[in-house]
Amino acid sequence: MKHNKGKTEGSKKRKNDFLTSLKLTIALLLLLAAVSIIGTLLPQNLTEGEYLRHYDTASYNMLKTLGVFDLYHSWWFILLLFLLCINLLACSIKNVSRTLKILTQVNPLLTDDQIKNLTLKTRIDKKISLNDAREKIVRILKKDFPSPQENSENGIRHFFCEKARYSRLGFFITHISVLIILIGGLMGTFWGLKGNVEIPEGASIHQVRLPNGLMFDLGFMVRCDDFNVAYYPNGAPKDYKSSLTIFDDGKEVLTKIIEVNHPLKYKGFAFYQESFGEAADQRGEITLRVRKKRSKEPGREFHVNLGESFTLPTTGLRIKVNRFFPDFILDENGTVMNRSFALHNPALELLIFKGDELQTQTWVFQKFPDFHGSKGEYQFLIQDIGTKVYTGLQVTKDPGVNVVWAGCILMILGILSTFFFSHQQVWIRTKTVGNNLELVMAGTARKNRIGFEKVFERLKAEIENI
Amino acid sequence: MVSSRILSVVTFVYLLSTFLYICYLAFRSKVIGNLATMVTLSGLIGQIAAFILRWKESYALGYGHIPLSNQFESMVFFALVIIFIYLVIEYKVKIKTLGAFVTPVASILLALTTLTDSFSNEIQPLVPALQSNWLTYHVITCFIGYAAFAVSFGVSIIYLIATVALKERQGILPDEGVLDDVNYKAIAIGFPMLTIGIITGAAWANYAWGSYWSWDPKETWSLITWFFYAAFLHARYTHGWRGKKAAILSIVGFVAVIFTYFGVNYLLTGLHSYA
Repeated sequence: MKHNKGKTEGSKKRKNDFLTSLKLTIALLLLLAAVSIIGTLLPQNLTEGEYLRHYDTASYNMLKTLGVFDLYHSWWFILLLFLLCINLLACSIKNVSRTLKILTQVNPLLTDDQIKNLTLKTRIDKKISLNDAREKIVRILKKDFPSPQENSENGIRHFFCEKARYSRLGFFITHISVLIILIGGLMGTFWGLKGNVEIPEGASIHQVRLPNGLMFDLGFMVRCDDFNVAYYPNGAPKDYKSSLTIFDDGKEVLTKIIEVNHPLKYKGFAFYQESFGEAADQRGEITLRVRKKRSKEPGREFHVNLGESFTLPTTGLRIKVNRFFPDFILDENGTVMNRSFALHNPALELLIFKGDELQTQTWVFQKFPDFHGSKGEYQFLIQDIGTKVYTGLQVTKDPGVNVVWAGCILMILGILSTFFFSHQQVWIRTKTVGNNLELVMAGTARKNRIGFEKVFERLKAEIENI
Repeated sequence: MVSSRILSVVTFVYLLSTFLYICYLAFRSKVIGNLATMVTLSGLIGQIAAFILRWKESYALGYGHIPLSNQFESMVFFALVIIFIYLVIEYKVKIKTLGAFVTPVASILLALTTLTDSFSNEIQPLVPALQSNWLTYHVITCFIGYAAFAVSFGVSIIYLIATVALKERQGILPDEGVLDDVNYKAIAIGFPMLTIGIITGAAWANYAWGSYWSWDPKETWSLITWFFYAAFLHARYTHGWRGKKAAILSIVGFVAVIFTYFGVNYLLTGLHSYA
């Protein structure tokens, strides 16, 4: 037969064998393991500058072309995964049809052919009638197997029982689950997104920053109502909590306090507590002490937010806190400017109005309270410039995540049924010979044959004693 | 803390059981063998008591959590599970000689934690990322996996000694076929547990950081270990890689496990800086 096969058919078969060979599976698994190691030794996804500190330009360019700086997304790593998928699929389809055939063609009758193929078999002769034995046999089998079957053919009675039948499909479920997980991963790569956003307390956002620096519009607003850090007595952080409110279409939709491990989900987006900090360009409540110049009086304290005004009673003066510069300087032209967000020289610009008319514009400095730049008859002392805390959120959208979980659950089921369950079958054939009953018992197990041998021996001993 | 004092005692109890198992290996006395098992079992009971006490002590300090949250606690738990799995296998397979090779692993782990200062045994409060029920599921499944691989490693070492070094002196060590079978069975426990451990870790990461997989070195190394044992299982299934080949693969696999557990924390940097 073999010699008659055409050449094309032969090469086709070889190709087919290659894709369905477990040698390929093993090679791919080991290769994936080996190349994954490289990615844990070489730092991944740093900036060009950071790499150039360790490598010269030539080796940097070579390594970059090889894709090892983003190894797990390089074309050849994906190719290896893709090959593994093809191999898994081919193997699974090939084997599942064989397994299904075995499962659908179980013969509940114990034929002589079958006996030949089974390793565990025994013959018992008992002086008992079939009617007396029947019930006892079923009762014994029922202890280990659900619902034993009875069939009669040509005056011979066959008992058959099996268990964990579908555990034979465990390998198939496991292999398919790998594919499902990878499909879920791909869905996340194509249709998902990951962004970051910092929201100062009280502020709202509708856009998040993507890793490539672009802004993505969420289509709804998120407000940070409040952010709090709780500490343990030893000073270690215990909780980071942000209260977030979603506004969709101008309407308040929901409010939730999020913390690490407890994200907020809305319209496919999930908001995770990631970080927090002080907003460099925003300030909280400002405390100003106002007193008459050269006066010995302590003056009076006013609390005001940036951009807002307060009135000095009895004077009719309105003072607006117009601008805040954390690092005030004068450039060479004498123009005021802010050099940085560091609090090197915090300064407030005050506009003093009498009625609606601007009377004076002046800068006051937290570190130089006596600086004579403050014009007019009043002295303004900055007592405190409150900080504004922002909450740092990670925002993700991953339509593949549920597919991944479905795959994971299937994988657990598949692996557990493969390793912890074994398809076991037992047949008993009874034939009345004169006053005796001739029993032939045979059995097989897919896995853990040593363990099954013990079960079989026990069954045999019980049957011998009926 | 009472739990720490119990642990120091347990370290010596495991050393004693190692000594008894070695005596058993030399003299084949049934009495010594049973004594070794009893001593190991009492050590395990002591360790479980210490585990529960430490748990209670953490509540007394005002930040109660299961003691599985840092390097010290995980190493102690690792030792606990190794001994537990070993005793189960000893009971099932009825071979005591393995004890001489497995109990020292547990005593070394405990000795490292209790007799050196490198691992703080202080009960620390949980940082926000660790405050999750997934901590329990993830750590327990991972360490059952690791411990099962440790047992397969021990058995494989014995296999190599039995087949290479002591070829002429049969009878001292268990039958090769049995060793090979135990090796396979341990991996058949370890692999599903590692799988569940990786999946629970991914689920947790998704809750904490919004991403179930980020190719963090710890994640990647657990996957490398998974790939490796998956290859091992397929090689055994199709090519019948048993005996010496399987033993060597198990040893290499356990090196990957140890690197995933320790090496990543000390040699590589990443998100998973707890243990």
